[in-house]
Amino acid sequence: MKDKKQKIKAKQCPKKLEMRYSVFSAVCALFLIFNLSFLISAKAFAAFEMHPASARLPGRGGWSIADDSLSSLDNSALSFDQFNWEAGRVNFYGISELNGGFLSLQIPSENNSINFIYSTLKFSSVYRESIYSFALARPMTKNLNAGLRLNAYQIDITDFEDGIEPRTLYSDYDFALLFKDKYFNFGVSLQSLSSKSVRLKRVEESADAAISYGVMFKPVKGAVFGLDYESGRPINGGLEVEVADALKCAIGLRQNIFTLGFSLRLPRCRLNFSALLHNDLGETYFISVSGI
Amino acid sequence: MPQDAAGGPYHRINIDGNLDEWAAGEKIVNDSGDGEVMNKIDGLYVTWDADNLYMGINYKVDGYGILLYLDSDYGGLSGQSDLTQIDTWNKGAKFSADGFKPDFMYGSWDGDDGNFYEIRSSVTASWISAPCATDFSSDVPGTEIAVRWDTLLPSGFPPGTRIAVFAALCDGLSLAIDAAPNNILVSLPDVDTCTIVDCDSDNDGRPDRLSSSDFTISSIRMPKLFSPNSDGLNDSLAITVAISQSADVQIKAYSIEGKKVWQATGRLSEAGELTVTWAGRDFSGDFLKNGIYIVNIRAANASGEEVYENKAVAIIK
Repeated sequence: MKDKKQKIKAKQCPKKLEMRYSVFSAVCALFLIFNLSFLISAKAFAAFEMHPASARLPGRGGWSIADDSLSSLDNSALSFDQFNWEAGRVNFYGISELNGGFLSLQIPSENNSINFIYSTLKFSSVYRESIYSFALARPMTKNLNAGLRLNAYQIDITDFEDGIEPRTLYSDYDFALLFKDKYFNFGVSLQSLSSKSVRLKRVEESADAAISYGVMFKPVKGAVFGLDYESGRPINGGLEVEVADALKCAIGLRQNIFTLGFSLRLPRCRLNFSALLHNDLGETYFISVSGI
Repeated sequence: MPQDAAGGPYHRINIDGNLDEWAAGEKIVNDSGDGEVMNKIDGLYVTWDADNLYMGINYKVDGYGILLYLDSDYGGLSGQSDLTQIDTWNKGAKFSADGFKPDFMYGSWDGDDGNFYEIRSSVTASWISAPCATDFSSDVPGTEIAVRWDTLLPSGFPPGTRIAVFAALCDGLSLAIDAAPNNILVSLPDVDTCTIVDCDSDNDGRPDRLSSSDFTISSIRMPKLFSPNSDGLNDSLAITVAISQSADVQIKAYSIEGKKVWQATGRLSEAGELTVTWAGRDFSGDFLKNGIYIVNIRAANASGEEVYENKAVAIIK
């Protein structure tokens, strides 16, 4: 009898250790992030906030820090089980001259997930912002992923007065953690780390870092609910529900914006659509095609 | 001169040769081709307010001229149908369309601003003062003309007034190449058509008001970039809004995320233009960061009808 008990204890021990290690590492990471958050303020550029990376995310309010599958610029620790791609377009507020586009690739490997995103926002022929982003996510424990992403930013401006830099390039990196559980995920993303000041003409602007927190609840199969919070900004939140086998519908809220979206599974691809309905500015539309 | 009992004119056009502020419903002739096609007329526009009749011609020419003929009392007795002996802009025009006897004409050569004339007899035309402008560099190129109603109808605005117009390109000798509207049976310089516009459909002796559904933001003019950095170059953004009726106007600026960063208000007591300047600062007076911002222009008329339009602008400091 005693032998049997000892055997069971021996079997449980690695699991217990693993769990303790997992909790310990998560607590340490959160402690570090909590302290870092006091050193971090708002980002430099207004426009990069709305750079498109997926047409599904905006439909559910734009929360993505704790998501575990969608292509995103927001959390480099997102991991993927399957290869996926997504390409799409966005038109902002019905302004024909203000459009964006993106291409995202999600590549799983044996131990890592690799994510590449190209995202651009173009205003007429006078101004264009582009992001080239490469992320590597790695599982640290069974429930915890860490991710590192390198971002290269490019701003092209027409030469409208003396002193303008027609092309500005700079880069930074992000670090993120994603804790995944059966019923909820928790993510923390430190963005725009190592940024330096950027000058487009005369005034140098500091490209400050930012920290975002997100939580994703999975109460029942086929439904997810999430919230994202970044210091100094209103909370984004939303819900996505699998209405039928082939159709996912989403609603959400972000600052002054009510969001709607759907994702329809077609043979060999998905069609994703989101509409952002702003109180005063009207509608912004995202549309994309993705692999899964 | 006709008076507007309601106190407000209808659609005032800025005479600059850029036809982008004309409403689609004011295009009375839609000719083949488009305004970007050289030596073709794309369309004719007519609108008015209490004081003026406005005419627009959407076209481009290189080495040719354009003539517009106006019959200010279509179906009436005044005007001439044979201008083959006229002393000014004689391009051999003869008019055979029922009731169309032009009593005014406009002529421009090779894109100049041109002049407006009263046809006093079959042999004499005299210049009269009327703002005219031609611009082939704009998005909607062509000519705009404004003529006072009391110049066109010196003895008053008769109930049921209808006007008729016809425009054609010309070479050194005669009307040629293209016309709007196009002739039905004959060839230029003979003319067997015109377009009739009913300016007083309710026979009340006043130019018809535009309906409330014609309440529009006619145009918004503002640069696409500005640089609020106190270096004296493009430090502020001038936003000029043209509205077709009297209105309360709100102009707001938002970050691309949808966060309001600036706001101004104004009032137009009659149709026309309003200019507001934004210094690129937020509500607390701080300069905004580089990036794209959305300018939201919202106008509400006396009957509560509201229209809005968005424009983007980039701040580069």
